Order: sequence, then structure tokens, then C-alpha cells
Amino acid sequence: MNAKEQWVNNAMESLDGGGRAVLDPFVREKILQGIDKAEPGQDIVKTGLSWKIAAVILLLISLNVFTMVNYGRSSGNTGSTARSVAMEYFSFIDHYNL
Amino acid sequence: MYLCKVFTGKSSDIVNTTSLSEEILIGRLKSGEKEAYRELLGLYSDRVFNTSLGLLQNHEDAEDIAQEVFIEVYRSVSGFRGQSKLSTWIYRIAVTKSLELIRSRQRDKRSGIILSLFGKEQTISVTRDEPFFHPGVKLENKEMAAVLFAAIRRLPENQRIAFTLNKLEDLSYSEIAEVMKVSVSSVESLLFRAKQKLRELLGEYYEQNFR
Repeated sequence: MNAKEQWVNNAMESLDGGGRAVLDPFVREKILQGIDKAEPGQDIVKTGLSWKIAAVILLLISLNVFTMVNYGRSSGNTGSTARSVAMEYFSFIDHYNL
Repeated sequence: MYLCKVFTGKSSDIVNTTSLSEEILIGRLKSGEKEAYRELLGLYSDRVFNTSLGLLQNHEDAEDIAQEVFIEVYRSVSGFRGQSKLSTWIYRIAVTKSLELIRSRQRDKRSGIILSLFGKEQTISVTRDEPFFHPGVKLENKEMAAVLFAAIRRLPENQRIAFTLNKLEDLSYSEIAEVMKVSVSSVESLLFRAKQKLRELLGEYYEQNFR
């Protein structure tokens, strides 16, 4: 083994046999004080559920908008598609005396 | 200059907690018992600090990260499902937070360089290119270890994590795999490539400085 390889081997082994660095006890006390001031976290399950509900509501709204836009295009309306849908709805009510 | 105490003999401080006692500790942590956190710090603060110190190679940063890790543990323990060991979970938080800091420093450095090209005065964050002397390294190896740590800084992230956990924390391949959420064979591959790369870098250093 030449000198370079020996040196590289020695460098690779330079961490062997050493010890773990120890955290300053003063910093440990600071951590405990920080924990005293910190707020406990939310329940992860509930947080996940609320995001799922929000996603479902967003999906429903998107589907409604998509339907209204497409309905407007297929009936050739150049005006407000929401208005035309509403008019059809009210005429339905009138027709059946609801 | 920081004076860090050294605890020699990593094998003697392996925590021989049974799974039952770990469950009990987790229960006490979830209930917010402050004494449980004191015990947790006693068990894991050095591991977290040593891991962060190895990755960040800076005492102040490692201390800051250690604080953030245990605050995060306090905030998130209610969601801990026990699918991994407590130590695995804590190591994972330490590694994640250390990497976040490394990446943010790299972003600051890159934006500083780009802005300086346009003549904008920027305070570029202090780079960590100074030699790093780990307090746990034997005295006779400190200089050489500093060169090794400089080479470790140039490893890709995953190789750096795997090497640090293996060399500084003495974690087994399976333990590293759990922390990094990869397979054991991935860890083997990462360590092989890390050592290969380090040998190459050390060889270049030798050529530049001793020939």
C-alpha cells in the first residue's frame, strides 16, 4: 500500500473510536423552558379530516360551475348561464305550483 | 469557541428501554407530563445534538436544531402512532430539520451570488467552509477528521445522512433504513457510494497538499 492509500485509509478511520458530543446542560434547560411555553399540537386525525371535507366541498362547487358553464354553452346562451338556470328552476316551480 | 463535553463509549449509553417502557414514556409525553420531557431529553438530547452537529458541522446551528427538534416532538407527539420506534422518529425529525437548514443556507448563498452579478450589495450568509473539529474525535485524529468532514460536506444529501448516522451515531443499516424510510439495500448502496466518493475526494486532497 502506498503512502497516499495509507493516508486516505487513516482519514476514513479518523472518526472511529471517538465519542458522541454532549449537549450543553444549559441548552437542555432552555429546551425545557421552550416546551413550557409551547402549545401542544392539534390532533393530527382531526386536522386531516377537515382538509378532506374542504376538498369535497371544493369538488362539489367545481362540478356545479362546470355544469353551469356547459349548460350555458349547449343552450347557446350568450347571457348569464346562472340566470338562465335560475329562470328554468323558477318556471319549473310555477308550472307545478310548488 | 465552544467547549463541548465528550461522552466516550457510545455502546454504553444505548438505551435499553423495553417496548413496554417506551410505550409508557410515550403515553406520559402525550399527556403533556413535563417530567416525561425531562426524561426524554436525558435519553435523546445527545443523540439529536450529535446527529445535527455531524450534518451541520456547526455548534450553534446544532444547538438551535436540537431545540427545534424537541419543540417539534412536544407539538407532534399526540399524532405519533408508534409505527416506528421513538428513537427512529426523533432521528428522522433531527435529520429533516438539519437538512432544511442546510438547504436554506444554500439558497441564501445562491441568491447572494446572483444578486451580486447585478451589482446588488448582499450580505451573503456565512459559508461553512471553515475546518470543523468534532469534539468527540480523538485528539490525534482531529486534523485528519477535519479534512474528512470537509469531504463529507461535498457528498449528496442522502449519502451524507447515511454516512453520518452510521459513523457518528453507530446506527445499523436497518436502523438507518428506518430513519430514512428506504430499504436496507438502498442504505448499503448509499454507504458504498459515499465511501467511494470520500476516498476520491481525500485522494485529491492528498495530491494537492502532500505531493
